[in-house]
Amino acid sequence: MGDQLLKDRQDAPIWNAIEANNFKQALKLVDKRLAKKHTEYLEALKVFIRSRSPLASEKAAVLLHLEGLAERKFVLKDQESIELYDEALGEVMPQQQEGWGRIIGELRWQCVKARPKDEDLSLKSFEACLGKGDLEHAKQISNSLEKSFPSSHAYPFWNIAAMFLYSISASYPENQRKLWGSLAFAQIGKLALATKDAADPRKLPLRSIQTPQELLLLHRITEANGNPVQRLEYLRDPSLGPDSLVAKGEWQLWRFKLKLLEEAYLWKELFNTTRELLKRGRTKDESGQLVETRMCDWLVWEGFIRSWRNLDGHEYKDAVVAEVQAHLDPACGIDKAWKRNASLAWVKSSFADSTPFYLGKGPDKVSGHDRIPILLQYLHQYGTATTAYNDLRPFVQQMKPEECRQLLAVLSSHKVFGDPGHSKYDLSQAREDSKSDYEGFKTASKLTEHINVYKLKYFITSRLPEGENEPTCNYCFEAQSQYCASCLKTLAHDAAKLYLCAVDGGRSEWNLLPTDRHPADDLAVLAAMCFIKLSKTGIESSDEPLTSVETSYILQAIALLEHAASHSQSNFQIWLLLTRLYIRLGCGSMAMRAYENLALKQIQLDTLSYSLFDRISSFHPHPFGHVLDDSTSFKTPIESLRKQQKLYRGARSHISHNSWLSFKHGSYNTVFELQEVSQTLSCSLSSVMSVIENRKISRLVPSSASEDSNNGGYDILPPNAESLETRYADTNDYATFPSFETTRGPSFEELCRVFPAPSDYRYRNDLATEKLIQLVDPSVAIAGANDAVASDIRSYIESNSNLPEMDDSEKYLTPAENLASTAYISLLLIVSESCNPELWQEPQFQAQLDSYNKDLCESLEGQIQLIENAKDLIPAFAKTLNLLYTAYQVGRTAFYSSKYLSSRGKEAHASQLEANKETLDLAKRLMQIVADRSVVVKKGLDEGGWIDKVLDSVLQVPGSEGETESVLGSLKDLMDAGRLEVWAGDVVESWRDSVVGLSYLKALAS
Amino acid sequence: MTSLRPFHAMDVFKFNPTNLDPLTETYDLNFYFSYTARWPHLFDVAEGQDGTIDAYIMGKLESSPSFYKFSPHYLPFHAHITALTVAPHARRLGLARTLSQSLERSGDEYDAWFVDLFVRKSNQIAQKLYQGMGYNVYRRVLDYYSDDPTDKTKDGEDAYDMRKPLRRDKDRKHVRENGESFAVEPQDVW
Repeated sequence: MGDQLLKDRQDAPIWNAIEANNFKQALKLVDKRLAKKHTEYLEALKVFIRSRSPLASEKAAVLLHLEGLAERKFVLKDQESIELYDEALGEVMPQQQEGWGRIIGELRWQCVKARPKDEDLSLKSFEACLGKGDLEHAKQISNSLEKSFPSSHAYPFWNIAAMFLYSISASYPENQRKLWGSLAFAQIGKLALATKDAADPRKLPLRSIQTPQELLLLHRITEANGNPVQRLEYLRDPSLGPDSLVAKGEWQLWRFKLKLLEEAYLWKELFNTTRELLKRGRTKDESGQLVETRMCDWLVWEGFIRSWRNLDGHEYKDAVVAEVQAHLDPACGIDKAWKRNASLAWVKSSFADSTPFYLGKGPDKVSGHDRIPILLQYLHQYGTATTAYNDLRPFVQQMKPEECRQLLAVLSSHKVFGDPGHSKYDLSQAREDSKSDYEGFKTASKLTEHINVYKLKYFITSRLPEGENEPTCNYCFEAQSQYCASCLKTLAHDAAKLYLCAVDGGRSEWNLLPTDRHPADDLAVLAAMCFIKLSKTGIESSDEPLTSVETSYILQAIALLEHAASHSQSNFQIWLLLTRLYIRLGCGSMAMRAYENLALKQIQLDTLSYSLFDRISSFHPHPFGHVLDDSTSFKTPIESLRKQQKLYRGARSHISHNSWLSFKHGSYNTVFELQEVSQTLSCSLSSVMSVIENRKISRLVPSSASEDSNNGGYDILPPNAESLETRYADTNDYATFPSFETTRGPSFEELCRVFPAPSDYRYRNDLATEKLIQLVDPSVAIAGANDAVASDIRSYIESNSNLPEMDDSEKYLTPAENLASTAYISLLLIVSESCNPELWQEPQFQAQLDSYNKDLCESLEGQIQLIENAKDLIPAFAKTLNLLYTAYQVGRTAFYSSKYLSSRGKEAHASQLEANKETLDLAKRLMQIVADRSVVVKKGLDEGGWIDKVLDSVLQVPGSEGETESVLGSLKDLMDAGRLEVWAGDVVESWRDSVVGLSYLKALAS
Repeated sequence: MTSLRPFHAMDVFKFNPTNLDPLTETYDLNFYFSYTARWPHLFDVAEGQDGTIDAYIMGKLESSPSFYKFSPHYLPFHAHITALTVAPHARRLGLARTLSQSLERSGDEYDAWFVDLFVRKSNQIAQKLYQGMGYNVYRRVLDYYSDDPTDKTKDGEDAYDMRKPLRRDKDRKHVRENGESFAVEPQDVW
C-alpha cells in the first residue's frame, strides 16, 4: 500500500514504520514532518496511522475527524489523501456500507464537484462508490461525467445505468427510487428514439443506442418502468429489433420478443415469427452454409406449437407438419442438436393434438393419434444419448394409466432394443466367452439404450396412478400404499444384475479414459433408488437397527453404489447419493470421504456444502479420526466451514471489481446481473449455515488458539441477520442429485432426505438462539456486549410479533429440533421480558411469563421422554446423533439461562427466580440422560461382531417372510467378496469414529 | 431439447452439472465475471429440460497489443474459445459443435479474422471434433501445459493452437497447412 500512496521520498521512513506495524514511531515521524510543513496529505497520513491504533478512543477520534470533514463538505485536493481517509475509515468501521457513503462517498463527490473536468479523478471516484454500493454518489458522479464530457458516447449510458441501479436498490427511499427510475426510463427512451429516427443506421448520432448491451439496458429499464407494449414496439422496430444492425444478432432479443408475444396472446404474430425463424434456421446462404441454425432453438419450436394450438384453422397444423418434415429431411443438413429439436417437436405436437398427426411416408408412417409408437420412435432415434429419458419424461407423465401399462408391456418385452441378454450371463462362463456374445450390453450405445428403457420402466412402476383412492400398481395391479414393493424389487434385481454384468471385467473392457464415467453407472444409481424406495415400504420398529429391512435396503444401496464408484471415480452423482446415505447411517467419515470425492471448490462451496455440513454440529462436530484405506486425512468440520466463509469474503471484491469493469466495457446488462449475485451471496442460506454450524461446534469441541480468534464468521452476514427483514436466498443445489422421478412431484433428492432440508425458518431461529447463548453462556459471552445483545434480542422479538408458527414447524425441523425450538423461543421471551421492568406492570405480564415457563418445561420434559423412548440406539444413526446433540444443547442453554437470570437479582422479575428452579432441575436431568445414553452408545460399539452384522444385513433381508435373501445376496457371485468385507469394516470404524464426539456431552455441575 | 441463451451471472449457482466433472475446472468468481463483464455476447449456455445447464462456452475477442505488431507471432483481431464444456449426461448430442458455431457467428458479427483455441496434443478426441468443424492446427506450442495427464513422469505437454478462418479471411491468410510442424515457445503465444 505504501508503494501506491507514497507521495514524497521523505515520507518513506513513515511508511516503513507503518509497514513494520510500529505506529508509535510512524506517528512521531509524521508529526515531525507536519511541524515543518503542513500538507493535506500528511494530515491524512496521520489520520490513517491513528486509525491503525488498537485503542478504541483513537478509533473514535478518527471517526469524528472524518465525519467532520464530510459534514463540512471539505474538498480534498489530491487523490492520495482520499485513498488514505478511505483506508482509515475501513480500519475504524469495517463492513459499514452506510457510513462509507456518508463520509468517504461524500468526500469523493465533493472532489469531483470541485474538479469535474478531471476525468481520472471522476472515474476513480465512480469506481470506489460503485464498489462500496454508494449509489447516491455514483449516480451524481456519472451525471457529472455525462455533462463534463459531452463528446463521450458511453457516459450518458453510465448515468442511465447508475440511476436505474439506484432505483432498484432497497437501501434508498421509495419516492427517490421511483423518481430516478422514471428519469432513467425517459432518458433511455430518448436515446432509442434517436436510433429509430436516424436517416442512416450506419451513421448513428453520438447520443443514440448503438450496441446490443445498450439495447438490453433499454429493455431492462422499460420492463421495470414502462409496459410490455412499448417493449414489443422496440422489438418490432427494424432499427432496434433483433434483426437490426445495432443488435448484432443478440439472441436474447429474440427470446424477449417470443416471450412478449406469447404473454400478449398475439398468437398469429407469434406463429408467423417462429415459422419465419425456423425457416431461416434451415436455409443456406449464398455459400451453401447454414449460418442461422440458432433459430432452430427449442424456445422457437415451443412458441410455434403453442401458437398453432391457439389458432383456428387447419392451415396452421399443416404448417407445423411441413416445418417438422423440412427439418427432419436428410437433405436439410442441420446438425443433430437441432434435428433433435424437430423430432421432439413432433412428439410434443402429437401429445398436444387430439386429432391424428401424421408424419413420414410408406411403412414408417406413424399416426400421432397413438402416442406410444411416437415415443418409441423417438427412443429409437435418440436412445443412445442419456438425455432421451429426460426428453420423454414430460410426455410419459401425461399418459393415462392404461397407456402407461401398454408402454410398460412393450418396454418389458424387449421389443424396443432387443434382449440385453444379462439374464443368461454366467460369471464363470463369461470369462471364456467372447465379448461379442454379450453385445446386447457391451457397447456404450447399446447399454445407454437399455438404460433409457429401464428408466422409463422405473418411472412407470414406481409411480402409482395419481388421484385414485386406492391406488394400484401400474404393472402388477396390486393395491399399494406408497410404492409397489414387488415391482421395485424385480426392477432393482434386474437393473443391478445388468449393471454387474456390464462392469464385470473392469473398465479396461470399455476403452475408457481415466476421467470418463462408466456407461453403466445409471443402472447402479437406478437400482440404488429402488432400494431406497423399498426401505420405506416395510418400516418396522426394532431394537437393533441392523436387523431391520429398512437398514438392509439402505446398506444394499450403499454397497452397490460403492461398487459403482470403484469403477467410476468421476461420477459425482454417485458421490452425492453416497454422502446422503452415509449421513443417514451415522457414518461421518464415510460421508466425508464421499463428499471429498466431489472435489468442490470456489462457488460450489456455497451451493453444495449443505450436502454434508448442514446439521454437522449435531452429527459429527469433532475432527475425523477414522483414516480410510487411501490414508487421506480430512479437514475438520470447522476448517471446512471456514474455507467456505473465505469464499464469501473474496466474492465481494470480485463482484465490485467486475461491476466496474462492466461499466468500462459497456456491458450494462452484466452490471445488474452482478448486483443480483451480490445480494444473493450476501445472505445465502449456505452462508448462514456456515456461521451457525461454526458457532455450535466451537462451543462444543475444544479448539486451538487460532481457531478461537474466529467469531464464527458473523462478518459475512448482514447485521441482525435473524431479522425477518433480511431475505435469505436459497442457492443450495438440489438439482444435481440424480432423479428419475416425475417432474410434478418431489425429486429423488427430496425423497431420500434424512432430515428436513435447510430452511429460512430453522436458520432464523438458530441465529436468534445464538444471540441468546451469547448473552447467557459464560463461555461465549462477549464482555461489555450484554446490553447490545439484549437489545438485539428485544428488537428481534418485537419485529417478530408473530413468532414462528408452531403448526408447520415439523416440515422444517427434526422431532428433537422441534422441541428445542419451543424451548429456545420460550427462553428468548423469558430472558427478554422478565428483565424488562417496563412490562412488569402490564395486566397480562404474569400470565404470559407463566405460559412461557410452562412451554419451556414441557419442551424440556418432552426432550427427556424422546430420549427415554428412543430405541435402536446402536449403532448410532443420524437420527440418534441429532437427538443427543440437540437435547444437550438445549439443556445447556436452559441451564445457563437460569443461571443468568438468577445472577440478575432485582433486575429480573421476582417470580422468575422461583420458576428458574424447575428449569434448572429439568435442564440438569436432560443433560444427565444425554450423558448416560452417550456412554451406552459408545460402549455398545466397542463390542465385536459388527462387521458380520453389516454383511448379513446386506446379503440377507432379515425378517421378511418367505424370502431370506436380499437382492444383492442373490447377485453376490458378481460382487467382489473381499472388497465387500473391507467396506463393511470401514462402515463399522466410521460408526465408532462418529460417536467420539458424544464424549463432549457431559452433565454440568450446578 | 437444445436451447441456447446468454450466460447469466447467477448461472454460477447452477453450473454443477458441467463443473463437477473432473475435466472442467471451477475457477474463482472473478474469472467468470470478468468474461461476462467484457464479452457477455461470447458466453453462452445450452439449457436442457427444466433449465439444467447442459453445456457452456466462454470466449473472447482480442488482438495482440500494438507493440507486438511486427512480431511474427502477432495475432490480429480474432475470437478465442477459452472454455467449452458439456455435462456428462448431455454428451453425444452435438452441443459442442452447436456452441462453437454460435461463437463463430459472433466472431463474424464483430468482423474477427478467425477463431482459435488450444487443445492438448494428447486430446485426440477434441482435435478430431474440431477438425470436423473446420479447424486446423496452426502451430504447436511447446510445453504449453505444465503437466501431462497421460504420462505422470513428464513435466509438461505441448498444445496445438487450432484455428478456423472466419468470413473476413477470404484469402485464408491466417491459416496454414502442416501446423503441427510449426513449433513455437510458450512465450511467443500472447
